[in-house]
Amino acid sequence: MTVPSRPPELNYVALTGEVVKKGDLKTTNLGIFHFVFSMENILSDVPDRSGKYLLDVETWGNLAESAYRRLKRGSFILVEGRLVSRSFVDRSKRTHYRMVVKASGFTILNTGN
Amino acid sequence: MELRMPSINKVIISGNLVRDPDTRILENGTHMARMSIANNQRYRDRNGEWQEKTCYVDVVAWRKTAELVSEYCRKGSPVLVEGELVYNSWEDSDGNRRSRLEVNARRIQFLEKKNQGSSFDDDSEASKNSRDQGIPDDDIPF
Repeated sequence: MTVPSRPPELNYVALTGEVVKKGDLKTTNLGIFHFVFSMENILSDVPDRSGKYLLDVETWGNLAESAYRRLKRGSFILVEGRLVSRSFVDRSKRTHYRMVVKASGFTILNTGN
Repeated sequence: MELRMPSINKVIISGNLVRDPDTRILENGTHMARMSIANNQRYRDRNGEWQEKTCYVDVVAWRKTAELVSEYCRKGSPVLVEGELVYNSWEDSDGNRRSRLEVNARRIQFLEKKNQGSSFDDDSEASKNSRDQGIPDDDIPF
């Protein structure tokens, strides 16, 4: 058996939440769809510490097209994917980092009515 | 019958510690360890060249798991973390509201082999004790 010299590339996240904001369906220069939406999650299972938080979810390719078409505000979904870091520079030239989920799939758990 | 929507919050992530863990003991005696891990993803770009993307994730561990982290983990240590995503916000010394997402570790596997320095395998008694440590409400300082 080969002994690995680096840790396995594991990065898996599964979250349920409610879609509260939809972005536009965009297309990259290469014609790849890109769609970002925000979901409201309860990110703590400790009752008196639970707080709702808006988490951005990125989708790409056919998944982006499908998510844009099928997801509505109020849809309660399960998202699976990986955590990715995104950075941006503010007006005072400070770099900020935030974590988003890059989705590999989603399941709608209600119809969002 | 009205049903509640299921609540799922699960993270499994591996990586190397970016720096030595920051460990402390809270006033109530609870051990806590904060660390940041670098998760690398290799992929081929359009030219077929291997590229690497790094995602830095903050992790917090509690109780026995935190003690083991402080004992066995150092900068560069490879670990596998299982836990949930939590959102924390606080006010810094300048009065600014700050927030961050981090992983609350339920279980940490130390991936370095015993004969390669400070490490410990998953079959040890200490590791068994480190599993599934619940976090009582009053242990969370934020």
